[in-house]
Amino acid sequence: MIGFIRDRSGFEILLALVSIAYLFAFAGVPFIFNIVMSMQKVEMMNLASMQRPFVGLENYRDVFANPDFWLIVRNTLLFLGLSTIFQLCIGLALAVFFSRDFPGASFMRGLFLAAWITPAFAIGQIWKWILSGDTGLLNYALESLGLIDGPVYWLSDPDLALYAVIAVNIWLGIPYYLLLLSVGLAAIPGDLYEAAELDGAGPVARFWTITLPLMRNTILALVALGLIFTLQQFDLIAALTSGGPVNSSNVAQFWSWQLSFQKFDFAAGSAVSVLMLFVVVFISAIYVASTRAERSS
Amino acid sequence: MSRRITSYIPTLIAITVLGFYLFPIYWMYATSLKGAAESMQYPPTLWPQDITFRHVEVFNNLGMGRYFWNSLVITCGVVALTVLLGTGTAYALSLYRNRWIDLALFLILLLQALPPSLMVTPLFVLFNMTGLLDWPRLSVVLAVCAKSMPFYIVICRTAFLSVPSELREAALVDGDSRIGVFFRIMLPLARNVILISAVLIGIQSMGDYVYSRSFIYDTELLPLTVGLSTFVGAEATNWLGIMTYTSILVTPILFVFVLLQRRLVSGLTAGALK
Amino acid sequence: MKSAASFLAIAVSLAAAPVVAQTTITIWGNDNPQPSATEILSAEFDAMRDDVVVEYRQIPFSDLNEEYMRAFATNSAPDILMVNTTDTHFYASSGVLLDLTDRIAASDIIDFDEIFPGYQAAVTFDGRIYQVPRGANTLMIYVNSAMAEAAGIDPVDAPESWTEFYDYAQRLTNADSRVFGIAFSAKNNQEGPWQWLPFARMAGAEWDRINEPGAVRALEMWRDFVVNGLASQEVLVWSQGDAADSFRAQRAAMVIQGSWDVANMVAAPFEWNLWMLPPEEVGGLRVSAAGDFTYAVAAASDAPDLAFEVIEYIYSQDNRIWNEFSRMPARAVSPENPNYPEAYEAFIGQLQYGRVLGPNARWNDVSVALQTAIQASLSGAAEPADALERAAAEIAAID
Repeated sequence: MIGFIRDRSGFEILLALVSIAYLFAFAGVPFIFNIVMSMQKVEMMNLASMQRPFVGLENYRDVFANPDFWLIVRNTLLFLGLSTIFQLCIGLALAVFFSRDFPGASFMRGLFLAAWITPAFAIGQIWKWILSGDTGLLNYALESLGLIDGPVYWLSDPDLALYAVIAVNIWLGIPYYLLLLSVGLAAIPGDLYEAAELDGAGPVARFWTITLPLMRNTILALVALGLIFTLQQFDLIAALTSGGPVNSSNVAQFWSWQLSFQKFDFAAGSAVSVLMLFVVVFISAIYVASTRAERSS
Repeated sequence: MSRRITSYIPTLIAITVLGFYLFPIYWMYATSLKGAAESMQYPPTLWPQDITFRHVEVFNNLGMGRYFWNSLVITCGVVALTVLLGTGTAYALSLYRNRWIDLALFLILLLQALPPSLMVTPLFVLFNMTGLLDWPRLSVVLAVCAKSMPFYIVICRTAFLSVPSELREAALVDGDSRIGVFFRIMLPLARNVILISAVLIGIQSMGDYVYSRSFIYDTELLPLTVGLSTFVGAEATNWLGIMTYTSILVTPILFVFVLLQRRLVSGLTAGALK
Repeated sequence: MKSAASFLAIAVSLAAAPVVAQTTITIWGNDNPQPSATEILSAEFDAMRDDVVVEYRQIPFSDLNEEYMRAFATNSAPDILMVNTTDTHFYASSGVLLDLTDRIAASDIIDFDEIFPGYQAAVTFDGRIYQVPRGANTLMIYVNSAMAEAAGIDPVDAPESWTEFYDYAQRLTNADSRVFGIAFSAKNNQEGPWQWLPFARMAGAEWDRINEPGAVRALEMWRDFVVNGLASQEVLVWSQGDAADSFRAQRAAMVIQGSWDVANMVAAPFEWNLWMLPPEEVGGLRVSAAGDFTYAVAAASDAPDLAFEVIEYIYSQDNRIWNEFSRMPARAVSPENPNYPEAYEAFIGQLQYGRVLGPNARWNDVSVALQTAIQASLSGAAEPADALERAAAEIAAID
């Protein structure tokens, strides 16, 4: 037995099983609980038990029939897509910039973390002040620079609210990409760049042919995880717009909470979250498929 | 001479970029120093005119020292547990390529898909039934860990992947045991990613709110995030208090993490892999 | 403060020679922070009695119902819980609360008849009483005196009809200096309907017949405020606190705000006055909002009598709560030397017309329907009449 662990693959399998067992217990159970709950009739008193009247897919039908459903789907997809693209690009650009060896580079890179350390609740309120239509700093600055001539209602204009929320979310997600991409960049051997430079490749060419391919695994992992994180972003939306006005900035995760805890329709809230799970299934499947092409050097 | 000056240009650009990016954080600090009337002025004052330092008062009134300690306990617990359980898994999942690994990876990603607001009720029931709620901070650690472990595993796995397999094979051929290979060769090479991920998980778990609020009843055991919410009443919210509290919260944590990441990220050189 | 009171309690109980068996009473609730009325008053009770230890747990407002429901579902509820007047019927109808009718009838301290009628209705469900009100609040119009005078309006001269009200808002709006005539909250949470429903009620409508012409007129007035620039578009995302902040920053001349905010208002650097919410026509029906929390005892509590005694004690301190906690009692008991006496008189006067939201066991669902209607109308997405039709249909469909 010991031999199996020490010299055969038993050791590694054991390592993997421990945390998978842990996750099954503390994440898998709630997971199943929610899926089951989405197919039952739920109210306060049976909230904690698993035995409730079974209603099949009725909750899902109600969710699909809800007049706001497609709007929320659209908002969620926009929220996910735009956030991730910009977070990745800006994060990558900053990571490349800060990986150069200029005075204060690594210190300043760390300061970006302040956005992550500050509680999202406080961040939401600060941005609410900045984006406030009548008294906000952003409008004040833009007007002083002559770029706009009246207040722009970033958060209360149904056409703008979603994009304002997305912009703040992009701001919030940059440190995550910045830091982890920096680690990935630092692992690339410098002589690869030197050799390419000697061969006459300019900075852009070096980026495309060396940096990106070597960062492939890291980037894919970050994007997969980042998408899942973004799908769970709640506090920001609650603080900035509460999904309004008129659901123009409402996304799936916030809607799920509203259904469960403002309308006390727990089953509908669960159903929405299970629908979100399908998105995660999609993302995870693509990520796992992409790992087939892994294997560096 | 000119070389000296131009080497500072990126620094200036960096400062400008950082200045824009961190402006909201600056705004938090500035607001926490303003008096009540000034904070509502329009046009807003960029620099506090009438500096009111209520930080000591907030710290004492709320017993922030106690909240800091609880946050620290919970964060250390989460980081320790995650690193302990997750590192090995990340390593194991990086070694092989087969259907089981695919399935494991897929499930690991999937299991973290639910937001805490939905996980909290079944976890509460579970902890209640098993009596774990008698150790509220432990319950929070267990719950937060289940959230952070998948992230940690996926990231660290990519670090282990980038270690050339020849290194590992050579060591095994040389007679080293698998355990030995893991500890003596693989871990040190993935060390920086592990530490950076641990840092990020630490920051994230300091921000946990839902689990702490739901599992911890005793005010003595609450962490900083829930303590913050005592400023929010049903109708009135004490924003100045919140900004003050937040600035007290952020400063030491930021200080620690900036120093940590500086060592970790800039400690990397290309030669590490050779 | 809590730690001082607990320290005192411990010191007192240590000083008393025999050790008495202690019962722990847990209270959960949401109180405005510092000073927290429930925490302080219950700690006083604790200090007075050797056999009781009171533990208070503060829960953030937006999480209250979630925590309660989870606690009830897992049989881990506290002894006493603070229930907002919007939720009183919901919890009463779920059977999780103790029927307090007989205890109140037998009580020397609590006289049910002296409680304001709006609150009596809130705590009575199916003829039985399930909660004890612990305070009252109401909405009035705060008006900036200097701005009023500049517009030729006498600050003590409250508007007596909606036409006059609208006219005042117009005169008080100053587009050049970016000052709005009025500010209020139309956020998509409980605050929107809370602020608007009194107007609908004054026009003769009610939440269960919200598509009546009176309600349409009320919603049209609000819509016109926003669309014609008399109120900022931001009311759609403003909480009441945000609207009040804009008033205190002198970006709005009037604000519909509550009695709880009087201390912050007094701290503002200008003079203001209080106006009652105007009836639709001169001499018409007056309505205002009434709300706040109540105390309830969980049916599963194992120390109901003791829990009720705690509630009685807190109730008996009603003459202090205005001065110490900016909270009005839910009955006509006047503190001596009230803080801000003129404001206090005004609030008491307005409270006579106060009606709670609902009361209804499914108020949350009703509220969501109303929120949607308000937001749709004010943002121009729908005409008030159509929005209210839709809301009425949704409300009728609630089982």
